[in-house]
Amino acid sequence: MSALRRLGPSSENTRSAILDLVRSGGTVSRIELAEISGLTPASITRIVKSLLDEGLLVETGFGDPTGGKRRSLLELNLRARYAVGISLDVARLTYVVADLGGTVVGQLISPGIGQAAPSVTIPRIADELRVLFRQLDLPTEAIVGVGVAGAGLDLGAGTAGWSATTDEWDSFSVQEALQQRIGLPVVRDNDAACAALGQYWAGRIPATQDFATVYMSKGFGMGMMVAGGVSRGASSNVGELGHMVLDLGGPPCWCGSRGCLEILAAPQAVVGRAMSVPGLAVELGLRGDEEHLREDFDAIARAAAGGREPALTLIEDSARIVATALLSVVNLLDLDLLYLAGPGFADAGAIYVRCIRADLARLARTRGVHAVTVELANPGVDAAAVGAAALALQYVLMPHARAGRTFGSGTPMALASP
Amino acid sequence: MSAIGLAVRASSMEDHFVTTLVGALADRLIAARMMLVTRVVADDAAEDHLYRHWAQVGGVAGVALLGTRPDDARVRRLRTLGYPVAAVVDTLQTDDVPSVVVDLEASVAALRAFLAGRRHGRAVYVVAHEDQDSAPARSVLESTAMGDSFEVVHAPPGVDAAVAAALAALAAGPATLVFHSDVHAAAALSALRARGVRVPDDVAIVSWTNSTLCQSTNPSITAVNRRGAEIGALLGDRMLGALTGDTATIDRAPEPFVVVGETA
Repeated sequence: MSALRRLGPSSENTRSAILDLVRSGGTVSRIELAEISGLTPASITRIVKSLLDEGLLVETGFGDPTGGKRRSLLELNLRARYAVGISLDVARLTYVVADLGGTVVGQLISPGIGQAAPSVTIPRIADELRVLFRQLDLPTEAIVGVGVAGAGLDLGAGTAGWSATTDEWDSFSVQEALQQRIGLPVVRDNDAACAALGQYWAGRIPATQDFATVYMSKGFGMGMMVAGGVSRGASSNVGELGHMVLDLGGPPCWCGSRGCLEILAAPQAVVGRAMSVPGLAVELGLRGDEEHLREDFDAIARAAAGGREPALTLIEDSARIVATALLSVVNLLDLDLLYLAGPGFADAGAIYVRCIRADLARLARTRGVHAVTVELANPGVDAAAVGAAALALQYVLMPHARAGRTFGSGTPMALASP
Repeated sequence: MSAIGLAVRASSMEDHFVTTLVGALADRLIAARMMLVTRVVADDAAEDHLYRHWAQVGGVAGVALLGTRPDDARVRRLRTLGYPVAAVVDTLQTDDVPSVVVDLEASVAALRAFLAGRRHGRAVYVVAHEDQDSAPARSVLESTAMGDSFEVVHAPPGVDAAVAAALAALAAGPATLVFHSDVHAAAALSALRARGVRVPDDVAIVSWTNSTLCQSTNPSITAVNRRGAEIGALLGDRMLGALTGDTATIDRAPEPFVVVGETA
């Protein structure tokens, strides 16, 4: 992939693209920005000045002399702005506050939404956001927005078909409801797309590196970063990996199809198989109901990570099915970089990585052309929540990377200054 | 819903022992219908400021402490502010506070015993510090404990610096490299293999911090499981106890063990 990123004529998008180049570059000079972007030095000087004036960039010293004047170096002014990311999950709600570099400066973890309806959950989230702002002692005027990550389909017009546990979440607009309560711009996306964006942002991945992030929570999703933006598709629903059909005669899936990845290999399928193994439920303390799905799957995953049978076989079976799905994904999209993220990979992610790597190395159509790198995302923090914060940062500060999404109501660019 | 407060040093946010511990602590609190609020702090002064801020604005019912020192001033400070406290402490400490006691020497001994039978007699512990003087107390304790058994190399912050320090240490001959950070261990593994160094034949690698990353590298990295998840859960229990008036119950952390991978 080319390291050059030719930009069009000067515009707001050009300005935000320059900001993005500084983000991924870490520390860069104006001349380097001109070389990478293809813009003239005069244009770069003008754009950089506006970013310095807004406090989004700072000058950090001088680079090595290159025969003439020493080049002053630029980097993001990390503490100039913050964004909140929320991972909306049945088992736990995670709120992170990230600075401009995507670095987490604080977080709040509270009980998940469980069986609660939006009428209960949204006021609770608004209250918990107030707790977060108060306890972290951050200047609230520097918080540019809130990103929300959750599983489910984007239904357009700010609504989502959340894969939550009660019917009230169908076609519910978290964006509008939350924005009305907290007075900050709110943007939402599915957890897989957010995880990909979080990896891109916090990992300082350049816009020239396309990659996909596979997210396993209750089901599977896949977020794709293409040219520095989240790939969207016709309705912002790219990456419904969980409903890739792998077995035409397989068990019926709730989506209406049969033999989907989710019905074959997601935590519920693994726990279901575990419950049918004599003695295993007692040995691992499995309860086998919807409410304890996460705990049950984690217990199986931990046992598998410790090499204990039959848990190891159960997880390896799931991993081989996931590997089969990702082989098709890689063949279709010619990817060379995949990340695995989400709570489903927290304990036994290494087993999934091993199976996926083995299948891709052996069977990927492009195996003679390039390798496919498969990595676990940073296991330390909630990837979807960090990504949701990055989503809010990107929407407000880097509108050039948007494609086909809207930010609740309001004018995002007007929010660039606190 | 009440919140438990936790201050975490910036350098610890990249430490997967700490993040695993915090995740397990959160799970325990969630099960008791409580919240965990975590704030990243740069140094002692920022941490003290944070506690005063919490006391001023309210909403935090108790504070969990990591990296406590013997006779830690933070315990007295928090109690003066009216907070129930629970802490992760080292065996050397005798503070009267609900705690989870971590036997650091046992972790070192487990690693020493594992390495005793390995081919490289020399072992080098590579730890990156933001600043030795302001490093979390536990990192200082770890460096001291490791120094009794291994050569210790202090590297500047950052992955590249840790890898460079490790490569420099190898100039004195083959060794087992013990990295404090799993991320640094993985980066060193990649750097050494890119140079044609055979791991573990020429150089062995061990991570002091176990994580899924260690098992997902190729080859998998041998690592010390210091039981972060179990310690976090116990800390949650002690914190919940402290909220109901307990001031002295002590749990001992389960014993660490070496997760044998392919690099040592």
